[in-house]
Amino acid sequence: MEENRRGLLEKTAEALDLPGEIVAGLPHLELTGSRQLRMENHKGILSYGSEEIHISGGRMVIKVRGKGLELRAMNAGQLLITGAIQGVDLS
Amino acid sequence: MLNWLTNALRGKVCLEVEGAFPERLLNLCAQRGVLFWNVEWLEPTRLRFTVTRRGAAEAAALGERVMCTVTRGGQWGVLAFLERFRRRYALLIGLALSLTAVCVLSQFVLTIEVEGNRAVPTAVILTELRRQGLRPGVYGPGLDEEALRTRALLQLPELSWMSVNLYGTRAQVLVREATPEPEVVDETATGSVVARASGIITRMDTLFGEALVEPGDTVLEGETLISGTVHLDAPKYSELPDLGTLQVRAEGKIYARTWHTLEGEIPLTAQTKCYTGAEHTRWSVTVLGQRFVFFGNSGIPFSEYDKISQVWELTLPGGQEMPLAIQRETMRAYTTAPAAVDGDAARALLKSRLLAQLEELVGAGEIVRTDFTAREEEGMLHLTLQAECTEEIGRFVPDKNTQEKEADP
Repeated sequence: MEENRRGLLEKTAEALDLPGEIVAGLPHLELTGSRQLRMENHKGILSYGSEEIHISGGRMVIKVRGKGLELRAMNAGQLLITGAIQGVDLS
Repeated sequence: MLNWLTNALRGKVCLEVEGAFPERLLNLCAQRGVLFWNVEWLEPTRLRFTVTRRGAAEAAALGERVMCTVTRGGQWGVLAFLERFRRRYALLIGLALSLTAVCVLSQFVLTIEVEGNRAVPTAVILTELRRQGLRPGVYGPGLDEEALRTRALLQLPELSWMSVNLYGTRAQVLVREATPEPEVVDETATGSVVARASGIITRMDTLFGEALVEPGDTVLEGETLISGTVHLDAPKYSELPDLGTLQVRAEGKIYARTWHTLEGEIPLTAQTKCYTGAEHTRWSVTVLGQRFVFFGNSGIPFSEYDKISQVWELTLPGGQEMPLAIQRETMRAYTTAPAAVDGDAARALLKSRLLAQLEELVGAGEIVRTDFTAREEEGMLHLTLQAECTEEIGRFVPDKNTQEKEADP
């Protein structure tokens, strides 16, 4: 039921051209160069390492790859990762 | 810089977490609003991160919920620094006593500075202020500066204005000296100029009155030189013999050659001190104007002694003296024995005394010639000075009638 509601909100936001992170609570990723990644609407850290960090985004998992990755700050809605970011995978 | 300052004020704690899923603790902290940063993954089951001092306890409690062991690695900040002294009771008592001493002692006057005086010595002003209650060691809030200022000014007529300002332990006394009153000559008083000393008049400058003598005349002490009673002659071809007299205030300068004889004597033997070698030392300390004798008896076992005092005052680097001094008094016993005085030295001493006496007598006049005659008689040296001088000998003497008028209410 929850999954259906989220899918509906996501489609509505897309159809009405509304920001998905506000209407449907979708994860919002902001990459500044290759040294800083800011993420909103995360659902928690799944695994942590200096070369790979897995973050839950609700219906997806965001995998941040790189070297010397570090979780600089984190609160209930946002997190900040720094380091030499080589790639971001969604699964 | 701002981060450093913020962390210093609120404090931070380093936590080490060990468990099967330590990232759960991070997620929980994020959800509960516990601020954390500097996350370091040490091992797959162990990580280290930093939280605020306030959030450390909550993070530890959350760690138990996710089956992790939370260990405090270290803490930093102002509060953590102060916490070290929480059980150092002696230090805390000392600190409290020091603060109390500073608060209490700052209420007392320690130094008094007098500014603005030129002719009136500072010691005179300080003595009067002490008499009125302002002295080192007095309780500052208990002073009534206005009343003190008024009372001190009444006792010091040489001062025209005074202000007493208290700045913590320092009392600043600002003064202004009064302008001396000029000598007031009563022009209404009539009188004559008489001779102050006997002599031969050399010059006369008569300003008012009728001159009764002229240069070359010999006058005696007390003789009238310029009379205040002026005779008015009758006009020409008048039948009247004269128009009577007019009373004026006689004024003028009369210079004369005068002769003075002064005598002096001095004993040819004097009592000299012979130190016996016995000494008595007494120590005392003066705190806030109060003297405490803390070593040595107050009684002095000698009948004749010299007292030598040495004072060491606490002085600040700027030269400011503090009201704390240590004093050492040494009493050296002696006996007296008669000894002959050197005749030449005695004569020179007596000569200088007589000359000083003559100079005071002549004033602005000139000493033309001096002649000394000495004789020894019954253990005394007698010296006679005969001097010839040129000086102003006029002295104003009011009329008896004027004096009677002044005395009449």
